[in-house]
Amino acid sequence: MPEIEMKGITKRFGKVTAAANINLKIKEGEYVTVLGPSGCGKTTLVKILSGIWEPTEGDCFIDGKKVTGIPTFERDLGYIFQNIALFPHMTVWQNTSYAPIVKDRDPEVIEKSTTENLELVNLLQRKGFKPFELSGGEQQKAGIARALCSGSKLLILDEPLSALDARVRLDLRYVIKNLVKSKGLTAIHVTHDQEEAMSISDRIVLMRAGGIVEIDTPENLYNRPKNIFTANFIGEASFIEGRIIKNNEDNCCTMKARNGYKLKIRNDSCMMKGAGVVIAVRPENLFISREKENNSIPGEIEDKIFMGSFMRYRIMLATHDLVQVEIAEAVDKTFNIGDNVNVIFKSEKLLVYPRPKEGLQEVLSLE
Amino acid sequence: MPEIHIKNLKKAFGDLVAIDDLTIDVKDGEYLTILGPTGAGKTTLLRLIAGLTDQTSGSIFIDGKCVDDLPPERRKVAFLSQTYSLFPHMDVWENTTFGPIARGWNPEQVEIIGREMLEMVHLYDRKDAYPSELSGGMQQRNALARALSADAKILLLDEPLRALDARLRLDLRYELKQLSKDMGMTTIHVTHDQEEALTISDRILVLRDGKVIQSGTPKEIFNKPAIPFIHHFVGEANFISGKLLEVGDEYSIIVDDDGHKYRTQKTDIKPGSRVVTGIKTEFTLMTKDIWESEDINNFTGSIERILFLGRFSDFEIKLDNGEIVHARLPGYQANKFEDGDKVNIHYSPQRLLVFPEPEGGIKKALEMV
Repeated sequence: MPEIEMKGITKRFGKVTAAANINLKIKEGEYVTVLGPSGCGKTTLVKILSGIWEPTEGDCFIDGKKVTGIPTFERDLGYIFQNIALFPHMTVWQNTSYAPIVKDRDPEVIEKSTTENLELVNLLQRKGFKPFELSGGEQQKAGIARALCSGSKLLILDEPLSALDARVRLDLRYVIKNLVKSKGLTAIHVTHDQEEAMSISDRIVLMRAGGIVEIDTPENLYNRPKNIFTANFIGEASFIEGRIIKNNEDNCCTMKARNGYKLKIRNDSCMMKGAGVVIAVRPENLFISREKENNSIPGEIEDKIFMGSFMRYRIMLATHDLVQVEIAEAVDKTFNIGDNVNVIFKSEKLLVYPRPKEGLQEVLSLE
Repeated sequence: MPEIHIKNLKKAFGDLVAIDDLTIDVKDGEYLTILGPTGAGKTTLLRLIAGLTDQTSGSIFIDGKCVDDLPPERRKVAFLSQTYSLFPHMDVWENTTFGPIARGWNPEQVEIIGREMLEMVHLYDRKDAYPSELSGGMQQRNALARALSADAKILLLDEPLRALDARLRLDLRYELKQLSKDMGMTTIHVTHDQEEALTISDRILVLRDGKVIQSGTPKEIFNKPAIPFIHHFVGEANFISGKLLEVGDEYSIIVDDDGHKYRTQKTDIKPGSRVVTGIKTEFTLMTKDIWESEDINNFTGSIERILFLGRFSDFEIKLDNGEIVHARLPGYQANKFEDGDKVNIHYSPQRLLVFPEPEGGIKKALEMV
């Protein structure tokens, strides 16, 4: 069973550094996604691991064995592509059995393994179909069966769901995760979709601009992101900038936002009085009231968006920060556009960060 | 008078009917999304309105005038395709002003419209960059600026956010709607993404197999879906098949094929009919305390699978009667549950919507194309 290690991996294309000194360890049987915006280096990382590209610096190890210089087909891995890449002139059966045939396996083994893997993705009945006769979701299922049929214990998935419809994507996520776990594979899955990453991963590697921002479980990245970029990328957040004006004894401090509005926030990292600070808060962690409440800032509702079981409000605060607030339909007291309200901040639900020197917009930028 | 009036529109490719006798009105200034699975005919409809393909029969009116014989450039519509199709050898400014220059506008007018459009999409400071130097989101905004500079009153958007990163889509979909509203455009936006449709539309038109199966506000589509397919496509639902036993003033009673009864919303369907009833997973109530209640809408089961989604978690529950059901809980509630937990499931009657049983059964009706 494979264990993966990347040590000091750097990849340069001329002047552009696509990956900068990446260190990463993946345990056997682990499902890891590499997540990040376009151009962050996530695809570069798996192309290096699979041997499609060689690193400029650093080494990859699979099962403790250095694989630098070893070609892809000798690395024993299954690869699932974004554009599916089935052979168009071959049937589902022929596509799926391709790897074992090329590897010159025993005909009985080929028969058995192809049948088993097509059954797993629920495509055995369509084994005689050519790719163009299948829907997009079915084509990718055939792509998955083909990768599994290679028999390797390491599976690389390069944006496997991006080309599919939103709904088909949801269904296939579960199919993939179940297969990987039931077969005890180690999987590395590249995606730009934070929800997809959260739903299938044991751990997420969040990348930006060629480097790793943070590695952790989905729950920790969503609920306790250490980095301010993470707070905005994994789930949405609203931000308020200010300065610490007073440190209290209870691990809390008072922050002064624009226009003199004050908020009580936690100060677990012991920032000094006078330090610049940014708070981030998820839409479901803010509350609205018509009356003035403790730890609240007044604002005006700019827009109201129906989102199914809850309503989202966009509110311009008196501090000139725009915040998004989500309220469950069951408790929603129907506030309207133009209403003056108070937005309540609960200090235990606020994420607190030092104010970035480069400027907030710069560190949050997705492009 | 409606801005766009589509009358008995039909488009066939050989034996395949892509658009099947559609009649649609779009109001002046409306933001309409067309939602449907792949192959529903969404893009074909947009191309017909734009004049990029000819209909088999029927007519399209814009501003009260029949445009059937007008070429695309004379229909006053701006069309933005999935792939943007910017000219790779032209910079942002040249791409944006291509239309006005081609139409022979004087240089001053070209200057004004180019600047106005690029400022609107926050790209004026990148006007000398080539498409290859821009991120996906910037290319998309450049394509939008170019479409808008066509001086059209109608904006046709074909999956405009599809090629973008998931996270960027969330920000841009809101900007897109604001821009369209600020410019007073009438917009038709095609998407297969139900959440996108819910959040940006004045009205949603659900299309399947070339036919409109429902038209309504996001709230209507979500809370009062016309057929089980929409109930499951916009959000996700648990379904039960059975027979309608009683129809009361407040509730109805349904009996499933194993003889279990459920109290559901009231309905106009005749008692004795075959029906299905479905509840959205968001409204499927799951608690840790087992209710000692005689309520027929109450069940016990255990959690088989949890999928963490941040704001929500999705749960798969195996009821003691063997049924598999799903529930979606907000994060602050979801973190109290673990795999294997015994739970109580409750269906609130008003949330159990009742439909006539679809031909071929519920499973077939929910199959995605």
